[in-house]
Order: sequence, then C-alpha cells, then structure tokens
Amino acid sequence: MRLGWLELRRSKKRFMMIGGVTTLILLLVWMISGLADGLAYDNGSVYRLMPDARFTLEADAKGDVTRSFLTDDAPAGTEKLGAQMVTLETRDGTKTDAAVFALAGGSRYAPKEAARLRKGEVLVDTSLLAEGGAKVGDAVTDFRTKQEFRITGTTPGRYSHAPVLWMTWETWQDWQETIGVSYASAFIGESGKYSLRDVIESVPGYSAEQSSFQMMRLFLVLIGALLLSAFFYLTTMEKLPQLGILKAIGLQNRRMGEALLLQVVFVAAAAAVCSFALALVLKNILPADIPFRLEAGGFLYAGILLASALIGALFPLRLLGRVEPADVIGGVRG
Amino acid sequence: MIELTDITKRYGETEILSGISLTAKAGEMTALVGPSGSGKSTLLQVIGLLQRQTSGSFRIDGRDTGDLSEEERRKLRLASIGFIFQEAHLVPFLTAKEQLMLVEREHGVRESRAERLLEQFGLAGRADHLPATLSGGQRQRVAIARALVNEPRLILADEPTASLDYANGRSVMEMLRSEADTGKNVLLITHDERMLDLCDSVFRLEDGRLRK
Ligand SMILES: Nc1ncnc2c1ncn2[C@@H]1O[C@H](COP(=O)(O)OP(=O)(O)OP(=O)(O)O)[C@@H](O)[C@H]1O
Ligand SMILES: [Mg+2]
Repeated sequence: MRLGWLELRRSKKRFMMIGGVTTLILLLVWMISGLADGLAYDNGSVYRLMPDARFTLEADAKGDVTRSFLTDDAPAGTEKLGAQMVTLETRDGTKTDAAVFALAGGSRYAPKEAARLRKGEVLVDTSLLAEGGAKVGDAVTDFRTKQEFRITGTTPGRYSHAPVLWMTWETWQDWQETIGVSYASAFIGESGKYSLRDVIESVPGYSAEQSSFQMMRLFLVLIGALLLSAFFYLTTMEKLPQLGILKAIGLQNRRMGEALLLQVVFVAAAAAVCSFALALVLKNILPADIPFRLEAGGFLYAGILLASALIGALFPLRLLGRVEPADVIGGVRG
Repeated sequence: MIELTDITKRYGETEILSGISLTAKAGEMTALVGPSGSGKSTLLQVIGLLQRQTSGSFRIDGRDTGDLSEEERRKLRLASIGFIFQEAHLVPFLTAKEQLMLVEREHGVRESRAERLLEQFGLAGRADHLPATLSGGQRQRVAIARALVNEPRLILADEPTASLDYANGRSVMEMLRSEADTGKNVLLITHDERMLDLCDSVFRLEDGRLRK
C-alpha cells in the first residue's frame, strides 16, 4: 500500500497523464449521454406532468396524441386531453411552432397554474417568449384559424422540440368550433391502452433521434472501454520490468498487486470525479437552447468504462505470478 | 558455499549451459568471464534462484535447491542473496534510503542499518535523493547497498562495473572485495580483465562449457 502511494505522489506527471486521458474519455460519455438525455427530455417534457397516467388514443394514431382524433365521450375515470401542433404568429409577425395542450381547468394532469386560466388565456413555455419575441400579457394568433390567445404566464413544457401552450378545455373547444370540429386527442386517466413511455416514444422524431444517440453511445462505450483497457494494460505492462526487479529482490506478488490496485482505483475514482465536475461546468456554460441533462444512464456507462479500465490494468497482474525475474532484467535480453 | 554439479540449461533445443560443475566458497570472490552469449548471465540467474536448471544439482550451504517451491525460493532470495545488475535497476520513485528500506517489512531491515550502509558507500548526503538525481556511479553504489542490506551470504553481480568508468568501477570492485573479506560469498561476471586481480578464482565460460 505504502509503495503504491509513494509512487502516486512521486510520479505525479505520469499518473496525471493517465488520469487525464481517462477523464477525457469519461467526459465524452457524459457529454453524449447528457445531450441524448437532454434531447429526450426536451422532446417530451410536457408529459412529466402526467407520470402515472394512461392514455386512450385513436387506433391508427400509433401512439402520437397529435395524430389522434376522438369524438366519443370520455369513459369513466378519464378526462379529455387536447393536443395539436400549431404555427403561432406573435404581434411583430414572427411565426413560431408550438404545441397546444388542453385539459379541463383544475385537472390533476395539468400544471397547477393552469387552474386559474380563463377562456382565451394560455400559459406558455419560456422558450416561446425567447424564440417568438412575445411577452407575458401579449396575444398570440394561431396562424391558420386566426384565433387569438392571451399569454398570462409561463409554465415549463416542451413537445417535439416545440414550446407547449397550455389552455383549458373550454378554450380548446371554443377554438375547435371556429373550424367546425369538436374532438379530443386522448382520454387520459387511470386506465388506457398506452403508458406514458409509449406516448413519449411516439412523439414525432423521438425514436429516430434516440436510436441514433443510442448507437453513438454504444460505440462510444465500446471503443472507450477497449481504449481504456488497452491503455491501462500498457501502463501496467510498462511497469513489469520494475516489478521483476522487486520480485528478484524477494518482494511478495501480493504487495505489488496491492500497490497497483490502489493506484488504478485511485486514478479511476479521481477521473470519474473530475469528468463529472467538468460535465457539470459544461452543462452550465452550454447555451440554453442546447438541452443537456445528466441522468442515471450516464452513470451506468461511466461505470462500464471504469470497470474495463480496471480489468485492463489488472490483467497483466496474472503475468506477475509467472514473470521470470530473469526475463526482465540483465542477460542478453536487456 | 555454493556447489554446482553437472548443471545443464536448455531453451527448447538449444543447450545454453552444458555440464557446469563449480564450487565457490564463502569469503572468496569468484569471477565468471567469457565471450558474449556464452551463458554467463544464465548461469548467474540459475545460481540466484531466478531460473531453474534443466538438470544437475545446485546446493547452497549444503542444501539442495532442487526441491524448493517458488515461495521457498523467494524467501531464500530475500534472506540470503543480494543481486547487483549491470544497470542499477533502482525503483525510480524511491529515494536512496527507501530503496534499502524496501525489504524492510519483508525482512525487518532497520532504518539505522540502511543509513549506516549509505554512509559506508559515501552516500550519506544522498539518502533522500531520487535515482534521477544521482550520478551513474552513485546509482550503482545505491544498488550495491540495496543488495547488501539484508546481509546476504551470497552476493551475485552481473557486470556491476560495465556502466561505470574505470575509477568508479574499481571502487565498486573494491567494495565487493571487502564484502568477500567479511565472509560473504561473492560471484561476479565481468568483461574487464583489469579487475581480475581482485578475485580469488576465475572461471571461463565458452559456449556453455567451463574452461578453468
Ligand atoms: N529466454 C531465452 N530463450 C532462448 N534463448 C536464450 C534465452 N535467454 C538466453 N538465451 C540464449 O542463451 C545464450 C546465453 O545468454 P546469456 O545471457 O547467458 O549470455 P552472456 O554470457 O551473459 O552474454 P553477455 O556477455 O552478452 O551478457 C545466448 O545465446 C542467448 O541467446
Ligand atoms: Mg550477460
């Protein structure tokens, strides 16, 4: 143990280099995971309000609420949800895409602030204000129907990378009537065919996006794991001659193994902490319109990488038992 | 005292050592000389319990080493054998004193003994230096001190002066000589004929065979 610490302290440069490479590879994993999870969140964060809900949709809507049109009455224990993509026009003429979500006032699935909405009033995600140039108090117009909505506040929520506009069921109905239809997009409640997971995965673009990211992550973890284990393997191999000398003197294999284990674990732990801290810093300096979230999945991937580093480093230790001190010192073999 | 009887070492088909028999007594300094590739290092490694012979018997102080386990060989190395290599082979991250203390926990070397040895080798002021900040001669002297710290009965040196200039090499040889004079059994390989005058006996190896 003491031997391991002494080397850590005295060969700082070497260990900092090893730790640096490990940190960078781990950072890459955090970044990809963070961006993937950020996009995933951004794509369906409106649904976070409805964690335990189940959904009933029109049969051929394939799980996407904006493609579902139901004209029946809501079955007992469920309520009507309205959802539709719109193009909004703000006062200065800027057009921006948004997703309208509507539930009865005071619904447990709607944001709390929505309970106070009156007819014609909406809550919007702050990104709509930023992108569309609107302010709280402004009116926005649905470009197709020319229906006007007054923004009375904000509430976070995104759908398919567009800001969500919350309204009450009354406002929704009023608006639908202007084009002569009356429908609900989904019945939401305790029972229904689709789970929250299902509808999130059916958000337009979600699956394609996430499977691309999943591939990226997979390759990153595979290549990173190979890279790290090879790297740690080489750094241990590089030390075998030194270990051969110690063995010639008569040191126990166990003592050398312990020293090496201590170093690898220390470097790996330090790299994990540093890379996570760096990821947090990056998260904060990333522009707000690049969604970034650090979620549990990232830890799993980082864990896999660290484990492979450990295996890579300890693999040559098996050799230590067999290493002939003579093979690594003196003689014609140098 | 070490006794080799009819030692043979083979690597696959090639015979590196053939029928070597020799005796080296405590209190004497014995030299092994011979052309490059003749098997000197191999022989020294067999004697140092770093390699096993293919056949033949090898006794240290009357004890046959043939039936020792790896662990017993390790303990015997630690307790009774000191190695000096052509290069100092110091552990790069340990100070001169720590090199000597390395066997501390294994063998109970006392700090005072380590300090005394360094002083004896003219390294008193260098005890806290890392190998990188020592000269070649100083490094080799640390390596020799390390080989002696466990008070081995047998000291094996593979070209200990090859990386040193004559003056430094000579002083290393004189140190080994004085170790022999205190009753140690010193066996060394050298290419330098000028050092042979310090040795009690010289064995010449050629093609794995001994020519006295
Ligand atoms: N592991 C090995 N496998 C096969 N052959 C080996 C091995 N080790 C040594 N040899 C061979 O054994 C012979 C003797 O090698 P050794 O190192 O003992 O020579 P040496 O007398 O010490 O030479 P030098 O003076 O150059 O150090 C050489 O021909 C070498 O090629
Ligand atoms: Mg040699």
